[in-house]
Amino acid sequence: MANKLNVNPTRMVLTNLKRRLKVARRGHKLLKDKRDELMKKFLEIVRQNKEMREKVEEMLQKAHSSFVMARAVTPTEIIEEALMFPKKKISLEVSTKNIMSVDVPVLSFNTEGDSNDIGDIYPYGFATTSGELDVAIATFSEVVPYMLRLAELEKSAQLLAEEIEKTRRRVNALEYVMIPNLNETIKYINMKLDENERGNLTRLMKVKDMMLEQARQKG
Amino acid sequence: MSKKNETNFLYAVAKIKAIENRLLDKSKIERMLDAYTPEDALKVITEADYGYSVSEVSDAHIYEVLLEEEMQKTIKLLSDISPQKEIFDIFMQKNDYHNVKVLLKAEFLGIEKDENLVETGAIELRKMKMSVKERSFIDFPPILRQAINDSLDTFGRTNDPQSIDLILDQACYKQMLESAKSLNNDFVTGLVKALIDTVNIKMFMRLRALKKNWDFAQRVLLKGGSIDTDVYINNLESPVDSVIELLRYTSYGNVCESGIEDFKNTGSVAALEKLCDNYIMGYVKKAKYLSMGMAPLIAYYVAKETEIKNVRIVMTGKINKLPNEQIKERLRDLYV
Repeated sequence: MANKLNVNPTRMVLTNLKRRLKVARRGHKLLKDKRDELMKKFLEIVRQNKEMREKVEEMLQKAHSSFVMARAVTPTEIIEEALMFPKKKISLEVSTKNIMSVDVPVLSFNTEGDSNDIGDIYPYGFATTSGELDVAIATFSEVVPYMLRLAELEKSAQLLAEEIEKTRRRVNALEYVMIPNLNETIKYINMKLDENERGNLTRLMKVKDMMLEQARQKG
Repeated sequence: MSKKNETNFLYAVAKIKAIENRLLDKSKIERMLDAYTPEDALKVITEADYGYSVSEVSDAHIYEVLLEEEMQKTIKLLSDISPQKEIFDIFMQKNDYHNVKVLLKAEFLGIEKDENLVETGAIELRKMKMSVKERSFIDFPPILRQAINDSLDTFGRTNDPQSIDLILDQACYKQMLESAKSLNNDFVTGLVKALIDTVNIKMFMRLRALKKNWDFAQRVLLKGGSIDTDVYINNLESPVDSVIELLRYTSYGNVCESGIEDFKNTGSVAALEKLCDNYIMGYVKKAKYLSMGMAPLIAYYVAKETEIKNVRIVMTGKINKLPNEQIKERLRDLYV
């Protein structure tokens, strides 16, 4: 059972409360709409996220298994030497995008230097390394954009989830606490005022009776 | 080479013949494959007296250390018993070039990467480090000196780390061939030529897969093999079948045919790489029944190298829980 607010039962407070109730109802409706919309967006992102994650995991799996094979046929120090000096540099840019007033990150990366030669990601010589290393490196480099997209999606999902939680808490607070409380209080004030009214009426009637009595005695 | 020189190796060859039996044979490798855990697989090689340090091994991941120690041990043994130390230069020089690569790259990156250096170079590691640091290469063989200067120059202009590897790889095999020639031994020269050819074939297929242009191929392919680099370069873009046709009548016909066939089906050079290694093994096996000369020693070295490669394949496979067939697919032929 909701509790009434601790206020003076006056007409002015009543009008105030009524105004607050109206605002609360409106807010409740708006927030509920926001929550539903967020939920829709969230589910969409989660679905994309799942697909992306499966894809990335599959690619990483592939890359790792070729890498394991490359490691198996090449001595460690040669692999380490081959990979110690990367040929390409990429720079990462982070900007934001607004989804239902939630700022989600947008990641984009640029490969520095000559990007025409896409095959040119191998920083090592071919004489000492194995062909399986080529496959591993190619797959790893292929997976980078997907991993960035995945990071973007996962962060978005996380941020949206937080926002949804917050909104839902607000909706619930309005729905189950604020609005019932206001209703209760308004009812209370109304009753109190009615009670006063009735008290006044009876008092008046009583006075009237008394006055009539006095007049009769005099007369 | 005169008869007298050949007989110089009598003791060494006899000793090697005795040791040869201790190489891991098929059944030992099978035992490793059948092992349930990587630790059990490791037991096989510790039993075979690998490395210096450990008898009781708890962690399978130290196998890398064992393998490295075993390599050092082999080189020490061979140079101890060989009356002519230079004969192993062809293999040890490879490590020099590796060390130079590491040192140069580390310097350009401004980091220390000493764990990637190998001890078993022809030039002592400490000296090598000093020389590279101070840019004084007077004591180095001319080919190495030239190559270092070239890579310093090229890297300075292009900032391309790959060029270091390309120049040094190129020089490395040139050096190996030169050292082999100076030994005046047909077996060794033939071996280095076969190495160059197989490396070229492997690289050729990879270059094709990576769609590199002929200009790049020119920098990558090694000179001095029995197949001229022009042959590869001219066929960089021709269809796979014609490549098989092209190489069919070289001594690598069989290797290429099934290796490239496999490449066509799977897009992976793994099988070709294995066949190339097997070809080299087949080549050195010729020395198995020789009782004189340096050939059996060289053969033993190659056999040991292959054995270590096999052990690495099995151990990596076991640690990463790969299915046995997948491991077996990659195992190289054995010497014994």
